[in-house]
Amino acid sequence: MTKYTQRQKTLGRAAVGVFAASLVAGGISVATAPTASAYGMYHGAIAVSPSTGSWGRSWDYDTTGQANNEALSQCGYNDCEVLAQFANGCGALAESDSAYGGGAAADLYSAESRALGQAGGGYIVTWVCTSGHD
Amino acid sequence: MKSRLQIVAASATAAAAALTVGLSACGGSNSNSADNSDAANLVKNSATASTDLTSTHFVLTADGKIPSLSVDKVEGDLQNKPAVLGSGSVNATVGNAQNGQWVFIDGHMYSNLLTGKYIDYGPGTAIYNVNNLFDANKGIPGVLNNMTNLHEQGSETIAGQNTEKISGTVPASYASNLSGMTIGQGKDKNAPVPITVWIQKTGDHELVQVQSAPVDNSTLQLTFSDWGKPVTATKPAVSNPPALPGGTELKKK
Repeated sequence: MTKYTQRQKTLGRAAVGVFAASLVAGGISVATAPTASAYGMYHGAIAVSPSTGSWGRSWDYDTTGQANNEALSQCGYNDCEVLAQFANGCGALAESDSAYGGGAAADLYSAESRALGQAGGGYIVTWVCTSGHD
Repeated sequence: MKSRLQIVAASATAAAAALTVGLSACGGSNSNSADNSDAANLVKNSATASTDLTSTHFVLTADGKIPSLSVDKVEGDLQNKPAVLGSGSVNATVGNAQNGQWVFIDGHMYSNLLTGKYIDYGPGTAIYNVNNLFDANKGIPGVLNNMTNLHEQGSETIAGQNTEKISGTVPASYASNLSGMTIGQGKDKNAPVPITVWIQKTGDHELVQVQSAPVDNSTLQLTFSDWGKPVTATKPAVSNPPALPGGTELKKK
Protein backbone atom coordinates (compact mmCIF):
# COMPACT_ATOMS: atom_id res chain seq x y z
CA MET A 1 0.00 0.00 0.00
CA THR A 2 0.94 3.60 -0.43
CA LYS A 3 2.93 5.22 2.31
CA TYR A 4 1.28 8.31 3.67
CA THR A 5 3.17 11.52 2.85
CA GLN A 6 2.63 15.17 3.73
CA ARG A 7 1.22 15.77 0.27
CA GLN A 8 -1.14 12.87 0.69
CA LYS A 9 -2.22 14.21 4.05
CA THR A 10 -3.56 17.24 2.22
CA LEU A 11 -5.12 15.14 -0.49
CA GLY A 12 -6.65 12.84 2.07
CA ARG A 13 -8.17 15.67 4.00
CA ALA A 14 -9.67 17.11 0.86
CA ALA A 15 -11.06 13.74 -0.11
CA VAL A 16 -13.51 13.50 2.75
CA GLY A 17 -16.98 14.40 1.62
CA VAL A 18 -20.52 13.98 2.81
CA PHE A 19 -21.48 11.34 0.27
CA ALA A 20 -21.59 7.65 0.91
CA ALA A 21 -18.06 6.33 0.60
CA SER A 22 -15.57 3.94 2.06
CA LEU A 23 -12.33 4.11 0.16
CA VAL A 24 -8.63 4.75 0.24
CA ALA A 25 -7.94 8.35 -0.67
CA GLY A 26 -4.52 9.95 -0.67
CA GLY A 27 -3.13 6.84 1.00
CA ILE A 28 -5.48 6.98 3.95
CA SER A 29 -8.34 4.70 4.77
CA VAL A 30 -11.36 6.99 4.67
CA ALA A 31 -14.98 6.39 5.58
CA THR A 32 -17.91 8.73 5.43
CA ALA A 33 -21.55 8.22 6.28
CA PRO A 34 -24.30 8.62 3.70
CA THR A 35 -26.06 11.43 5.47
CA ALA A 36 -25.53 13.66 8.43
CA SER A 37 -26.93 11.90 11.48
CA ALA A 38 -28.76 13.30 14.45
CA TYR A 39 -25.30 13.96 15.83
CA GLY A 40 -24.27 16.11 12.87
CA MET A 41 -21.12 15.39 10.86
CA TYR A 42 -18.44 14.27 13.26
CA HIS A 43 -14.89 13.56 12.14
CA GLY A 44 -12.24 11.34 13.64
CA ALA A 45 -8.76 10.04 12.86
CA ILE A 46 -6.08 7.65 14.08
CA ALA A 47 -2.34 8.27 13.70
CA VAL A 48 0.67 6.10 14.53
CA SER A 49 4.42 6.56 14.77
CA PRO A 50 6.05 3.63 12.93
CA SER A 51 9.33 4.06 14.79
CA THR A 52 7.93 4.13 18.33
CA GLY A 53 4.49 2.55 18.13
CA SER A 54 2.96 5.62 19.76
CA TRP A 55 -0.54 6.33 18.52
CA GLY A 56 -3.09 9.09 18.81
CA ARG A 57 -6.79 9.36 18.13
CA SER A 58 -9.48 11.94 17.77
CA TRP A 59 -13.24 11.87 17.47
CA ASP A 60 -16.22 14.18 17.22
CA TYR A 61 -14.38 17.06 15.54
CA ASP A 62 -16.09 19.42 13.13
CA THR A 63 -13.58 18.98 10.29
CA THR A 64 -11.20 16.36 8.97
CA GLY A 65 -8.31 18.76 9.40
CA GLN A 66 -9.07 19.27 13.08
CA ALA A 67 -9.43 15.53 13.60
CA ASN A 68 -6.14 14.77 11.83
CA ASN A 69 -4.27 17.46 13.71
CA GLU A 70 -5.54 16.22 17.06
CA ALA A 71 -4.65 12.60 16.27
CA LEU A 72 -1.16 13.66 15.18
CA SER A 73 -0.76 15.79 18.29
CA GLN A 74 -1.80 12.95 20.59
CA CYS A 75 0.53 10.58 18.74
CA GLY A 76 3.32 12.99 19.62
CA TYR A 77 6.23 12.08 17.34
CA ASN A 78 7.57 13.64 14.14
CA ASP A 79 7.01 10.50 12.13
CA CYS A 80 3.37 10.07 13.15
CA GLU A 81 1.08 9.53 10.20
CA VAL A 82 -2.69 9.38 9.91
CA LEU A 83 -3.74 5.90 8.82
CA ALA A 84 -7.49 6.22 9.22
CA GLN A 85 -9.90 9.10 8.99
CA PHE A 86 -13.65 8.91 9.14
CA ALA A 87 -16.80 10.97 9.36
CA ASN A 88 -19.76 9.59 11.29
CA GLY A 89 -18.06 6.21 11.50
CA CYS A 90 -15.25 4.26 13.10
CA GLY A 91 -11.52 3.79 12.68
CA ALA A 92 -9.16 1.10 13.86
CA LEU A 93 -5.42 0.52 14.02
CA ALA A 94 -3.97 -2.99 13.81
CA GLU A 95 -0.41 -4.15 14.39
CA SER A 96 1.44 -7.19 13.11
CA ASP A 97 5.12 -8.09 13.35
CA SER A 98 5.98 -6.04 10.27
CA ALA A 99 3.38 -3.33 9.78
CA TYR A 100 0.57 -1.16 11.08
CA GLY A 101 -2.77 -1.18 9.32
CA GLY A 102 -5.40 1.53 9.43
CA GLY A 103 -9.05 0.94 8.59
CA ALA A 104 -12.12 3.15 8.49
CA ALA A 105 -15.76 2.23 7.93
CA ALA A 106 -19.27 3.07 8.98
CA ASP A 107 -19.05 0.42 11.71
CA LEU A 108 -16.27 -0.76 14.01
CA TYR A 109 -16.20 -4.38 12.89
CA SER A 110 -15.61 -3.39 9.24
CA ALA A 111 -12.99 -0.82 10.25
CA GLU A 112 -11.16 -3.49 12.23
CA SER A 113 -11.38 -5.87 9.27
CA ARG A 114 -9.69 -3.36 7.00
CA ALA A 115 -7.05 -2.55 9.60
CA LEU A 116 -6.19 -6.22 10.07
CA GLY A 117 -6.17 -6.72 6.30
CA GLN A 118 -3.55 -4.04 5.84
CA ALA A 119 -1.43 -5.05 8.81
CA GLY A 120 -1.37 -8.61 7.56
CA GLY A 121 -3.06 -10.02 10.64
CA GLY A 122 -2.04 -9.32 14.21
CA TYR A 123 -4.29 -7.56 16.67
CA ILE A 124 -6.20 -4.32 17.16
CA VAL A 125 -4.08 -1.66 18.88
CA THR A 126 -6.79 0.94 19.23
CA TRP A 127 -10.09 2.05 17.76
CA VAL A 128 -12.48 4.92 18.03
CA CYS A 129 -15.93 5.84 16.71
CA THR A 130 -17.67 9.14 16.41
CA SER A 131 -20.78 9.62 18.52
CA GLY A 132 -23.67 7.44 17.50
CA HIS A 133 -21.64 4.83 15.62
CA ASP A 134 -20.35 1.39 16.51
CA MET B 1 -21.66 22.12 36.02
CA LYS B 2 -18.65 20.40 37.48
CA SER B 3 -19.01 16.92 38.86
CA ARG B 4 -17.84 16.06 42.34
CA LEU B 5 -14.84 14.26 40.85
CA GLN B 6 -13.83 17.29 38.86
CA ILE B 7 -14.08 19.45 41.95
CA VAL B 8 -11.95 16.99 43.91
CA ALA B 9 -9.40 16.89 41.11
CA ALA B 10 -9.32 20.66 40.91
CA SER B 11 -8.81 20.91 44.64
CA ALA B 12 -6.01 18.36 44.53
CA THR B 13 -4.39 20.22 41.67
CA ALA B 14 -4.51 23.50 43.54
CA ALA B 15 -3.15 21.95 46.70
CA ALA B 16 -0.33 20.24 44.85
CA ALA B 17 0.56 23.42 43.00
CA ALA B 18 0.71 25.37 46.24
CA LEU B 19 2.93 22.73 47.78
CA THR B 20 5.24 22.74 44.77
CA VAL B 21 5.74 26.48 45.19
CA GLY B 22 6.47 26.06 48.87
CA LEU B 23 8.91 23.25 48.31
CA SER B 24 10.86 25.02 45.64
CA ALA B 25 11.57 27.72 48.19
CA CYS B 26 13.00 25.33 50.75
CA GLY B 27 14.74 22.72 48.68
CA GLY B 28 11.94 20.12 48.72
CA SER B 29 12.16 16.44 49.49
CA ASN B 30 9.82 13.48 49.51
CA SER B 31 7.71 15.06 52.23
CA ASN B 32 7.15 18.74 52.57
CA SER B 33 7.37 18.93 56.34
CA ALA B 34 7.90 16.86 59.42
CA ASP B 35 4.13 16.69 59.77
CA ASN B 36 4.01 14.67 56.57
CA SER B 37 6.50 11.99 57.55
CA ASP B 38 3.49 9.76 58.18
CA ALA B 39 2.37 10.39 54.62
CA ALA B 40 5.80 9.45 53.31
CA ASN B 41 5.77 6.25 55.33
CA LEU B 42 2.27 5.36 54.21
CA VAL B 43 3.14 5.90 50.56
CA LYS B 44 6.33 3.89 50.93
CA ASN B 45 4.49 1.02 52.60
CA SER B 46 1.76 1.15 49.99
CA ALA B 47 4.37 1.01 47.22
CA THR B 48 5.73 -2.16 48.78
CA ALA B 49 2.24 -3.64 49.08
CA SER B 50 1.45 -2.86 45.46
CA THR B 51 4.72 -4.37 44.32
CA ASP B 52 3.88 -7.56 46.19
CA LEU B 53 0.25 -7.59 45.05
CA THR B 54 -1.01 -10.93 43.81
CA SER B 55 -4.58 -9.95 42.90
CA THR B 56 -7.28 -7.34 43.38
CA HIS B 57 -10.68 -6.20 42.22
CA PHE B 58 -10.45 -2.86 40.46
CA VAL B 59 -12.84 -0.24 39.15
CA LEU B 60 -11.59 2.36 36.71
CA THR B 61 -13.79 5.35 36.02
CA ALA B 62 -12.95 8.10 33.58
CA ASP B 63 -14.75 11.42 33.54
CA GLY B 64 -14.27 13.82 30.65
CA LYS B 65 -12.68 13.32 27.24
CA ILE B 66 -9.38 11.51 27.77
CA PRO B 67 -7.78 11.07 24.32
CA SER B 68 -6.27 7.67 25.08
CA LEU B 69 -9.45 6.07 26.41
CA SER B 70 -12.54 4.83 24.58
CA VAL B 71 -14.16 3.72 27.80
CA ASP B 72 -15.48 5.42 30.90
CA LYS B 73 -15.57 2.37 33.15
CA VAL B 74 -13.56 -0.82 33.33
CA GLU B 75 -14.13 -3.20 36.20
CA GLY B 76 -12.87 -6.65 37.01
CA ASP B 77 -10.83 -9.10 39.00
CA LEU B 78 -7.15 -8.99 38.15
CA GLN B 79 -4.38 -11.37 39.08
CA ASN B 80 -0.93 -9.79 38.97
CA LYS B 81 1.25 -12.71 40.04
CA PRO B 82 2.45 -15.21 38.98
CA ALA B 83 1.01 -14.06 35.65
CA VAL B 84 -1.37 -11.28 34.72
CA LEU B 85 -4.87 -12.55 34.03
CA GLY B 86 -8.37 -11.41 34.74
CA SER B 87 -11.83 -10.67 33.48
CA GLY B 88 -14.59 -8.17 33.92
CA SER B 89 -16.84 -5.62 32.26
CA VAL B 90 -16.30 -2.45 30.28
CA ASN B 91 -18.42 0.50 29.21
CA ALA B 92 -17.70 2.38 25.98
CA THR B 93 -17.97 6.14 25.83
CA VAL B 94 -17.10 6.74 22.21
CA GLY B 95 -19.43 5.72 19.45
CA ASN B 96 -22.62 4.22 20.80
CA ALA B 97 -22.36 3.77 24.55
CA GLN B 98 -22.50 0.02 25.22
CA ASN B 99 -21.41 -2.52 27.76
CA GLY B 100 -19.13 -5.45 27.06
CA GLN B 101 -16.91 -8.03 28.69
CA TRP B 102 -13.14 -8.40 28.69
CA VAL B 103 -10.76 -11.25 29.43
CA PHE B 104 -6.99 -10.96 29.80
CA ILE B 105 -5.02 -14.18 29.53
CA ASP B 106 -1.68 -15.28 28.06
CA GLY B 107 -0.65 -11.68 27.40
CA HIS B 108 -3.70 -10.82 25.31
CA MET B 109 -6.91 -8.96 26.02
CA TYR B 110 -10.10 -10.14 24.39
CA SER B 111 -13.29 -8.12 24.43
CA ASN B 112 -16.72 -8.21 22.83
CA LEU B 113 -17.31 -4.51 23.35
CA LEU B 114 -19.33 -2.92 20.53
CA THR B 115 -18.76 -5.75 18.03
CA GLY B 116 -20.50 -8.42 20.10
CA LYS B 117 -17.72 -10.87 19.22
CA TYR B 118 -14.55 -11.46 21.17
CA ILE B 119 -11.68 -9.80 19.33
CA ASP B 120 -7.95 -9.99 20.05
CA TYR B 121 -6.80 -6.62 21.37
CA GLY B 122 -3.20 -7.70 21.97
CA PRO B 123 -1.70 -6.07 25.05
CA GLY B 124 -5.05 -4.42 25.68
CA THR B 125 -4.36 -0.73 25.10
CA ALA B 126 -7.51 -0.58 22.97
CA ILE B 127 -9.58 -1.26 26.08
CA TYR B 128 -7.28 -0.61 29.06
CA ASN B 129 -3.77 -1.79 29.71
CA VAL B 130 -4.44 -4.06 32.69
CA ASN B 131 -1.19 -5.86 31.89
CA ASN B 132 0.81 -2.90 33.17
CA LEU B 133 -1.50 -1.83 35.98
CA PHE B 134 0.71 -3.35 38.68
CA ASP B 135 3.93 -3.53 36.70
CA ALA B 136 6.78 -2.58 39.04
CA ASN B 137 7.84 0.38 36.88
CA LYS B 138 4.94 1.13 34.54
CA GLY B 139 2.06 0.76 36.98
CA ILE B 140 0.88 1.61 40.45
CA PRO B 141 4.20 0.71 42.16
CA GLY B 142 6.01 3.15 39.85
CA VAL B 143 3.53 5.89 40.69
CA LEU B 144 3.83 5.38 44.45
CA ASN B 145 7.62 5.05 44.39
CA ASN B 146 7.95 8.32 42.50
CA MET B 147 5.32 10.38 44.31
CA THR B 148 6.71 13.55 45.89
CA ASN B 149 5.48 16.77 47.46
CA LEU B 150 3.32 14.68 49.75
CA HIS B 151 0.60 16.27 51.79
CA GLU B 152 -1.89 14.62 54.10
CA GLN B 153 -5.47 15.55 53.30
CA GLY B 154 -7.20 13.75 56.16
CA SER B 155 -9.02 10.51 56.72
CA GLU B 156 -11.73 9.19 54.45
CA THR B 157 -13.68 5.97 54.24
CA ILE B 158 -13.41 4.59 50.70
CA ALA B 159 -15.11 1.34 49.72
CA GLY B 160 -15.44 0.48 53.40
CA GLN B 161 -11.74 1.03 54.03
CA ASN B 162 -10.39 3.51 56.56
CA THR B 163 -7.90 5.48 54.47
CA GLU B 164 -5.54 8.42 54.62
CA LYS B 165 -5.93 10.75 51.69
CA ILE B 166 -2.57 12.03 50.45
CA SER B 167 -1.97 14.46 47.62
CA GLY B 168 1.28 14.97 45.77
CA THR B 169 2.88 14.98 42.37
CA VAL B 170 4.36 12.33 40.15
CA PRO B 171 6.54 12.67 37.01
CA ALA B 172 4.39 12.86 33.89
CA SER B 173 5.91 9.65 32.57
CA TYR B 174 4.48 7.72 35.52
CA ALA B 175 1.13 9.48 35.55
CA SER B 176 0.69 8.80 31.83
CA ASN B 177 0.98 5.07 32.43
CA LEU B 178 -2.33 5.10 34.28
CA SER B 179 -4.23 6.74 31.44
CA GLY B 180 -2.31 5.42 28.45
CA MET B 181 -1.51 8.97 27.37
CA THR B 182 1.58 9.52 25.22
CA ILE B 183 4.23 11.99 26.26
CA GLY B 184 5.40 13.01 22.83
CA GLN B 185 8.60 14.34 21.40
CA GLY B 186 9.83 17.50 23.10
CA LYS B 187 7.51 17.09 26.08
CA ASP B 188 8.91 17.02 29.63
CA LYS B 189 8.53 13.50 30.97
CA ASN B 190 9.50 14.72 34.42
CA ALA B 191 6.94 17.50 34.62
CA PRO B 192 5.12 17.18 37.96
CA VAL B 193 1.56 15.98 37.60
CA PRO B 194 -0.82 16.27 40.57
CA ILE B 195 -2.11 12.98 41.92
CA THR B 196 -4.10 11.92 44.97
CA VAL B 197 -4.02 8.55 46.67
CA TRP B 198 -6.09 6.95 49.41
CA ILE B 199 -4.13 4.38 51.43
CA GLN B 200 -5.29 1.97 54.12
CA LYS B 201 -4.34 3.47 57.47
CA THR B 202 -3.80 0.04 58.98
CA GLY B 203 -3.01 -3.47 57.84
CA ASP B 204 -0.94 -3.85 54.69
CA HIS B 205 -1.46 -0.20 53.68
CA GLU B 206 -2.90 -1.24 50.35
CA LEU B 207 -3.70 1.48 47.85
CA VAL B 208 -7.49 1.82 47.96
CA GLN B 209 -7.89 4.60 45.42
CA VAL B 210 -5.84 6.81 43.11
CA GLN B 211 -7.06 9.82 41.18
CA SER B 212 -5.47 12.02 38.56
CA ALA B 213 -6.46 14.47 35.83
CA PRO B 214 -4.82 13.27 32.57
CA VAL B 215 -6.06 16.35 30.71
CA ASP B 216 -7.97 19.48 31.67
CA ASN B 217 -11.56 18.85 32.70
CA SER B 218 -10.98 15.14 33.16
CA THR B 219 -10.59 12.73 36.04
CA LEU B 220 -9.21 9.22 36.03
CA GLN B 221 -9.93 7.19 39.14
CA LEU B 222 -8.97 3.64 40.10
CA THR B 223 -10.44 1.98 43.19
CA PHE B 224 -9.17 -1.33 44.55
CA SER B 225 -10.55 -3.99 46.89
CA ASP B 226 -10.46 -7.76 47.55
CA TRP B 227 -6.67 -7.97 47.64
CA GLY B 228 -5.33 -11.51 47.36
CA LYS B 229 -8.63 -13.03 46.28
CA PRO B 230 -8.10 -15.91 43.80
CA VAL B 231 -8.81 -14.96 40.19
CA THR B 232 -9.56 -17.25 37.28
CA ALA B 233 -10.01 -16.48 33.61
CA THR B 234 -10.75 -18.58 30.55
CA LYS B 235 -9.87 -17.61 27.02
CA PRO B 236 -13.11 -16.93 25.14
CA ALA B 237 -13.89 -18.13 21.64
CA VAL B 238 -12.16 -15.46 19.57
CA SER B 239 -13.74 -14.27 16.34
CA ASN B 240 -11.36 -11.73 14.84
CA PRO B 241 -12.80 -9.74 11.95
CA PRO B 242 -11.82 -11.14 8.55
CA ALA B 243 -8.90 -9.29 6.98
CA LEU B 244 -10.45 -7.14 4.27
CA PRO B 245 -8.90 -4.80 1.68
CA GLY B 246 -9.49 -1.08 1.82
CA GLY B 247 -7.27 0.07 4.64
CA THR B 248 -3.86 1.69 4.77
CA GLU B 249 -0.56 0.01 5.50
CA LEU B 250 2.50 1.52 7.14
CA LYS B 251 5.64 -0.59 7.50
CA LYS B 252 7.33 -0.57 10.88
CA LYS B 253 10.68 1.20 11.12
